[in-house]
Formats: sequence, C-alpha cells, structure tokens
Amino acid sequence: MKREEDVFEGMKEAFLKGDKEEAVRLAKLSLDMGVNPLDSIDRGLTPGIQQVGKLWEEGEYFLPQLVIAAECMKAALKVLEPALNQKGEKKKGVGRVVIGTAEGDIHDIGKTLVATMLSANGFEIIDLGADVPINQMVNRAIEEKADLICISALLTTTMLGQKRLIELLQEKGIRHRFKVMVGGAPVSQQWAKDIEADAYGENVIEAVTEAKRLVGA
Amino acid sequence: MKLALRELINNRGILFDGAMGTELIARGLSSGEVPEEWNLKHPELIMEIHRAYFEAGADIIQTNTFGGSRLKLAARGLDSIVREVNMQGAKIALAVKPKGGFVAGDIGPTGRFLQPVGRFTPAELEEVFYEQASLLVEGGVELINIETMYDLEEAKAAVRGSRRATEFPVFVSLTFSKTRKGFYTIMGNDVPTSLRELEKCGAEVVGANCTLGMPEMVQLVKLMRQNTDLSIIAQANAGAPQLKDDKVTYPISAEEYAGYAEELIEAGADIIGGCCGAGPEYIRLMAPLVKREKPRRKTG
Repeated sequence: MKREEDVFEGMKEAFLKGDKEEAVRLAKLSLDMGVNPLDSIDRGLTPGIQQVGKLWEEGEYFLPQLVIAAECMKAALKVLEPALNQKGEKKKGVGRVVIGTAEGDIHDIGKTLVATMLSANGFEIIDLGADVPINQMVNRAIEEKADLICISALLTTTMLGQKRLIELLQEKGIRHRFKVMVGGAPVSQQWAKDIEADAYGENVIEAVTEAKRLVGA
Repeated sequence: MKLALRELINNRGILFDGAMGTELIARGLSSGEVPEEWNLKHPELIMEIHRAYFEAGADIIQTNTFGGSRLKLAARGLDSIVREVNMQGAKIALAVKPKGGFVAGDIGPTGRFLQPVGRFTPAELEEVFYEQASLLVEGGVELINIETMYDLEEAKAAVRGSRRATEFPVFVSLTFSKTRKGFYTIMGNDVPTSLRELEKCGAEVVGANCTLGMPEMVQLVKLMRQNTDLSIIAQANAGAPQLKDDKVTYPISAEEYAGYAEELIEAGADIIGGCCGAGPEYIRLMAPLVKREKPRRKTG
C-alpha cells in the first residue's frame, strides 16, 4: 500500500514526464486512499507544475512541456473536483481573475498557461479566451467583481489594446478597482510602467508571483 | 528575375526592409484592426511604407501579408478574402518597385499549433502555406520570405508548401530566444538541428528575426554561420516597445542599431534587415555598410 508521500512524489514525476494518464491514475488512487484532495493539490499537483516551471526558467523545458503539464493539471483536478465539492472544501479563492488575449490577437497558449497556473495557485479564473474586445474585458471584470485583470498580447500591433484597457478603466473612473497585469512577447517592464499597468508577467512563473503580490496573498 | 537575385546575393551584401507593424501603428493602425486589411482599405499608405524602404536603399521589401494565411485570417472571420489580401499585397508592392529592387511575399505563422500542443498536422499547415505562397507568386512576387517562425515543424511546413508553389528562392527565418542554455525557439528547437532540417526542406536562405536585439543577434549569427553554408538573413529588433508621449517608440536609435551592421556582417550575415522598431531610417543608415562587395565564401 502506497504512502501519501509516494503518491505526491508520483504526481510530481507524472508532470515532469508529461504523463497525463499517470496523473489521473494517481489522483484517483489518492481519493481511494482517503487522502484529502486539498493535500493532493498542495503537495502533489502544485509542486509538480512548479517544478516544470522551474525547468522552463532554467532553459531545460519548453512550451510543449508546459502545455502538457497544464493538461496533466487539468485532468487531475477534474478527478479531484467532485471530492473537493463534496467535502465543501473548495479552496477559498485567493483572488478573482479575468484573463484574456487582447483584441485582434488570436494567440492564447501563454495566456492559457498563466490561467492554469493561477488556478493551481488558488485563484478563481474567468478566462475570456483570445481576441477579446477591450470593453468586453472591462465589462466582465466589473460583472465578476474581479480583483485582477490579466491581458496578453503577442504582436506589436495588438499590445496597444493593453494601453486601451487602462485608458478605458480611467475613463470610467474605476481604475482603482482593479489590478492590471500585462504579458506577452513584445511586452516588457518598461512598457508596463509606461502604460501604468500594475505588473508585468514576464513568464508563467513570474505571472503567479506578481498576481499573488497584487492581491496581497 | 530569380536568377538576378541569386547572382546578387552571391556578389554582395543584401539589404532587406524593416518593420511593418511599427510603420502601420505610426500611421494609425488601431489595436483591433487586421493589418493585412490595409492592403484593401489603405493601399496608398502601404505603398508609402514600401516606397520609404526602397528609398532608404532596401534591395528587397516584403508584402504586407504577414498574417495573410487562410488560418490566421479565419480566426478574425476574414478567410473569404485570403485571395484579395495576398494578391493586392503583391500588386501594391510591385507598383512601387524601382529598377533593381525585389518584392518578397511575406509569410508568417498561422497562430495555430501542431499536434500534440495543438490540433493541426504538418500536412494541413503545408496546404495553408502552399495556398498563400501560390497567391503571392500569382500576384507577382519574386521570392518568398517566411519569418518569425517559433516552431521548426511549422517552418518546415511553410518551406515545403512554398517550395511546391514556386521555384523562386525561399527564405526562412526562425525566432530564437536566448535562454540560460543558449538559443532556442519557444518550442525548444536548437540552431544546428533547425538549420539542417530547413535546408533539407529546400530553403535557400536561412536566418532569424524578432525577439532579439542587435547584440544577441550578432551572437546568434555567429552560431548559425558555424552550422550552415547557406546564405544567412538577420533582422533584429530595435529593443522592446515603449510608450513615450502617448506614442509607441523603441529605445534603440537608428544610429546605435546601424552601428552593429559591421559586426553582423563579420559574424556571417549575408542579408540584413530590421524587425520591430527598425524603420526606414535604420535601413538607410545600414545601406552603405551592408551593400558592399565581399569575398565569397563557399555557398550552398
């Protein structure tokens, strides 16, 4: 009979190998063993995806490995969800995030990875997808009472949407209500500063660190 | 026509054009617009940009068709005008071409991913690129320039598709990032493997554009030169975009940028242009340094 620690270690390994079936199998096993699903997330799944992120930072892992790790995370969480809801142990959100790629831009992988990582770190995510009209992003943030708006852009031509988002919040007199984080290939710390965003998510790992800082977590 | 270009590449350094996105934004392109639509809506502005690059000394300019593949346009509901966008893109570039100048059909990524990251197969993407290259050639371009490719497999599909569409030269540039372990695409492709496989697919000129500034591009060109006998094309960014006085600007000046041209040539670049932020002034300052005769290496 496996011990808890073995299961958590196995989950981490599954993420590193990109083995979705194994991640799902271990998630099921953990429930059979009576392991608290919150423990599985905190000590198995989250360290797993964080390790993948670390290897990406070190230049060992690349986008495909990040994407597959995110899929392992989604699949494992799907297995644990019923148990989480049943126990009423749904983790209280660390913050609410509205996230999307700027209008005119169809690139969504980076944005989706950030959404998955934030979710794994306890944020409630409202993912608007790609090519999101700026006023739609603002309206949804208002409706959902979001804490944080994350906007991604991959092209020089679409990053202006990030500037437009902040202007629109200012025009409506609600800039103070939300924290805004920007990201994407042409985006930089300087750009974030210039357009008066609150944070720049240079990569998936930084995005989580910054998001936590912004909501005071 | 194509023979003249190949001869030219063999005889001297070639000057490519610079940024298109930057110039479109300066002329009022707004954040939600599809840049390629300007071929139909504002052809005179596109011609103005092409003219500026030719006047700055560019030997080759690229059509405004970077996002003009069927798949990319489809995401914005514009796949029905894929023919018009590419044909018109070629037509207006040719209309301002001076004697001795060349027009390249610009092909960028589809924005989609191959399996397993996405849902597309290499064959499907190859068809999309074959279509775009065919339209550009029908429109009258004299070579195909595939650029800003961050996935080697997609780049290969683009080269194969273009090769099927034409016997004209096919250039291909990847976008590399500098990681702690060296230069890699975001998909994890390394330089030696990439150049070898692109040549096998039939690319005549290989190289890199975007993401990197001049100093890193010089390092990358040195590495590329060690790994291929083909002619190398290099187009660096003028730094990352900034906002000053409500206008998008780039931190690296034309003088500073052009100051790297010698190093880039020495590193092994045969064709030099500019990417994000590098407008006509950047190209103009590089012209006398780049368009020089040089002793020929063994070329592929």
